[in-house]
Amino acid sequence: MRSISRRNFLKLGAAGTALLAIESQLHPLAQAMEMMDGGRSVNRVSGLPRSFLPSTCTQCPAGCGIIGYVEESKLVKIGGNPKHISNGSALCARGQAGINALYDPDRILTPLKRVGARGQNRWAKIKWEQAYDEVAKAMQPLKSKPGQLVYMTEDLEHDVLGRRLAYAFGSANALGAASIFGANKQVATQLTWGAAGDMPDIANTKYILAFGANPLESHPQFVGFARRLIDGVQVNQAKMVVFDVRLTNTSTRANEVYYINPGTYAIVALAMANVIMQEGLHNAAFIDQWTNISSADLASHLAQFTPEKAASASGVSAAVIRRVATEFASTSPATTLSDGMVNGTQNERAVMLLNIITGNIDNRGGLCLPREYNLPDADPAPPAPAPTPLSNPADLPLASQQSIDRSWQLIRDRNYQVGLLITHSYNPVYSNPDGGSLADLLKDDTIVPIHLAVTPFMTETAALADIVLPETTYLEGWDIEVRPSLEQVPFIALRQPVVPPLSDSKSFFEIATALANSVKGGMEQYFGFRSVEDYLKGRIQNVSGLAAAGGIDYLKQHGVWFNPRSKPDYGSFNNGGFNTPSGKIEVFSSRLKDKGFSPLPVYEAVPAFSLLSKDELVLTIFDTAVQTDKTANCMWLDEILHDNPVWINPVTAKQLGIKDGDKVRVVRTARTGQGITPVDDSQLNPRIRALESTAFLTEGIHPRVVAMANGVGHSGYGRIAQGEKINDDEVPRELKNPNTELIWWKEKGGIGTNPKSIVPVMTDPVGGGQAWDDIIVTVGKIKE
Amino acid sequence: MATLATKRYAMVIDMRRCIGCHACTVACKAEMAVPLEVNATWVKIIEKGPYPSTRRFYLPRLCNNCTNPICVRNCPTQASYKRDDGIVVVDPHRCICCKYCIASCPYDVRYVNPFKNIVEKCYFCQHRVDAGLEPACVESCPTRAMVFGDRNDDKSEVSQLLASNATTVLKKEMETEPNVFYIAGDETAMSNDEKNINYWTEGTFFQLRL
Repeated sequence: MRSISRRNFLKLGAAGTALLAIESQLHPLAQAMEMMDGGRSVNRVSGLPRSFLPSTCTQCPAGCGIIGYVEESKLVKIGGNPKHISNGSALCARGQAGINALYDPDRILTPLKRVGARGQNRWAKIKWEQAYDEVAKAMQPLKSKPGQLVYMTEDLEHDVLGRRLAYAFGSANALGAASIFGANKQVATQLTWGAAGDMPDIANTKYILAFGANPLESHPQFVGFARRLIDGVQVNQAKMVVFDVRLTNTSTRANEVYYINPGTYAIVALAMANVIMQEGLHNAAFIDQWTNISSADLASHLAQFTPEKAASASGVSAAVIRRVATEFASTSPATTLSDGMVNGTQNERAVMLLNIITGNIDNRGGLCLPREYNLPDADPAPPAPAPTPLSNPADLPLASQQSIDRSWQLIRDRNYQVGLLITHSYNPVYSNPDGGSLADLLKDDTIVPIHLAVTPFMTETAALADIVLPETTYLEGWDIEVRPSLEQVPFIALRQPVVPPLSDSKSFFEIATALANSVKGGMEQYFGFRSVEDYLKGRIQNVSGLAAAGGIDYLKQHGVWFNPRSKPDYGSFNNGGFNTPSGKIEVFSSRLKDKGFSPLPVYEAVPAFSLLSKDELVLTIFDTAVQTDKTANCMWLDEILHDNPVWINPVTAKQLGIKDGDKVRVVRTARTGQGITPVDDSQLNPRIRALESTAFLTEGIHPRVVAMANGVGHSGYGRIAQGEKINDDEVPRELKNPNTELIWWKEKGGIGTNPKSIVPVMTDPVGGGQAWDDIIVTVGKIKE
Repeated sequence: MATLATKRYAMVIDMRRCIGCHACTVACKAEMAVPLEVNATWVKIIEKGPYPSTRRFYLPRLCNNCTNPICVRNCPTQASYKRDDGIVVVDPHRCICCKYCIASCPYDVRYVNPFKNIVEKCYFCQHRVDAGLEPACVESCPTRAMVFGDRNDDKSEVSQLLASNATTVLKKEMETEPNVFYIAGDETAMSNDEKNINYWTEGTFFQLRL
């Protein structure tokens, strides 16, 4: 591969900083490390080495490099891949617990066909041939109206094959659920600097300003980012200031933590930008050369956001706003961190502005452009079919934008007729806002005549399908995996089976190929590959340097590849500018103006927040480092995090007569969503407005906010996700695990509640992304 | 084995780097096939201080593999013993599960394996260490808060961390001489002083405090 030796590589990983750095820059302690950091595993009893294969984790979106260690064709351990540019040998709890998902006793191992009504959970096992025939029979009549095939997947960006399937059939409706997982940042950054997303160069920075971002629990590159953030703070001595509504794991590592009123991040960021301009601490040369607005015009736009005004809205003092703004602008390099919020797109643009006016753009230690291989689908790629109201909503500013909740809305209101719905690795009944009414919708066969679920597990959504095809888990499947690089050098990784598919489950490639060949009518020409490797070779064939290194064989052996000659090309915009219509950073966005939005970053107050009555609180939903929406079938994770009581400040609890551990009812009030998107509560089923939980009193939360963790409280997804003990005698041989008889948390604490169940659809009008942190609720003790 | 005898293994946990993510907890479950209900490694969490100056602290917990282990002294069958390199282990063939060791351990790090009916604990992953690998928790730690190595080797990372940082151990007054050292460990988290904290949990986020 490259001249760097394995041992040097490990040292680099240990230092956690630049993988491509030269040795003299290393943390001195790392050089004395005498033990091998990852890449091998031995049997606990015999001491003999285990066989292994590298692959990619998809327990969360990060796509960390993993190694599966195998004994007698059983996966016995998952570790990090030391050669991986992002996470190295480290791996989070979720990644290591993936083995629980692979051997989930309730895994589906044969195709299922519904018997009885949808949702009764009564199934007949059928053969694959019959399943393919039935799906083909449902698809063939749609050939003349292919847009009635609606394919929904959690992560469309990383489901190229699914998009291929929809496109090959002639349907543009390959829909991803990005809008419920942080699309606003993607849209804001795309509009502003012409690339979707960002990558703070966190290990090399000197100042970190975090607005509602909690990367030490939840980040699109969790393990790799956490390691580099801690290096930034501990080795590089960066100062970190956090604004949030609750005490996060990220706050615990910060120098300063400020509790901020919900929905007010943008005005604080804009007031800081104002201070920086007024004090003359801005980088005028950068603004004038690289943005499409002059320093003077920007200063005059920002003048309205005084620190005093921001203080009165946010609860953060004007003195703190002034001081932190001054520190941020006088420390170089510096970067912001931000995360989804109400009015997310404008907020993201407001926070990004702080980097822009200080010139902390794509520089070492600043806010960098995402560097990621953009791999086209393999030839022959099906052409993109004509857009539909689902695939490309007309009112959003970017032509490529989707919003899964708007799609659901159109379908529910019978403004878009579905013929066949395919859900692939997507569980909207659990994951989407208003999942309860999506469950009702999925039961209605006039709205969804046929529903095919492709999934290894009986999710809340698959339970409402007509046919369920048992896909393999991620550990038995294939894909090319690319993510933005934390080292600013793009890489390509492979997901390959670390064990063969269990029983009668099949990889998605096999399923898609068989479906295309059953339906025919022309779509089979796009699925004529001799093997999955053949297909994946087509995806990477144009990557310069990879073929010389060995192509797919290299990836199969090492799991990951990056061009050894690449170096972080900071300041890449110096060659050709930014990928925007003006070639500059569009602080002033004509595309926003054209759609009727403010072209300059502004603060849009949530009217309802200023009208809260004494007993109204704002519910925020947070992710943890232990669970995601789809990991609750992993018992090792559930044992750590199985419940999600409601965080309440003791002062608030006292006013409400609530004590720690009390049973409480959380009710969404009609004011939720006011000024965002109209919500007509009268039409909603009461059960999707209220939930029951227990009170958890903590000093680590804003008195007007309550919080609940995400990832637990399943009403489906198998027995483990629901905390049920399992009689191991009844479990198929290949899935046996006596530990499932010891599951204890349902009896001793409970399995939590899904807080998303009471969240209405509140999409940002610009980005189309869901607001998860801004639900107005009342909390009351349940009298027993 | 002369080389083994000259080693003296220890772990240093740098609390300035720990983010309380539980990667170590799960690494241990997987590596040692630790059953549900029991843990050989876990993370204690405490919160202290009034709003808005509230602080939260973590404390990864595992066997201290003490230089002067009370458990070894109290084991009637010599199932618990100390290796020459300092790792305290339990011989599964000699253990009669009398639980004297559990009663005598000041750190509550031993447990009965419900499937085997013997006592188990963290062995600093002796099988991995013997093969030249780091313990599983150390390897998995996202932020490299955990460092393992040989105290007798001045150049090792643990020796250098011990030489250049103030460290603390749990229950020093017990004179067990723990071989797990904490850098910047929060005093309250380490002392079990429940008077000064808002809440604490061990093993799970919220349940065990109740």
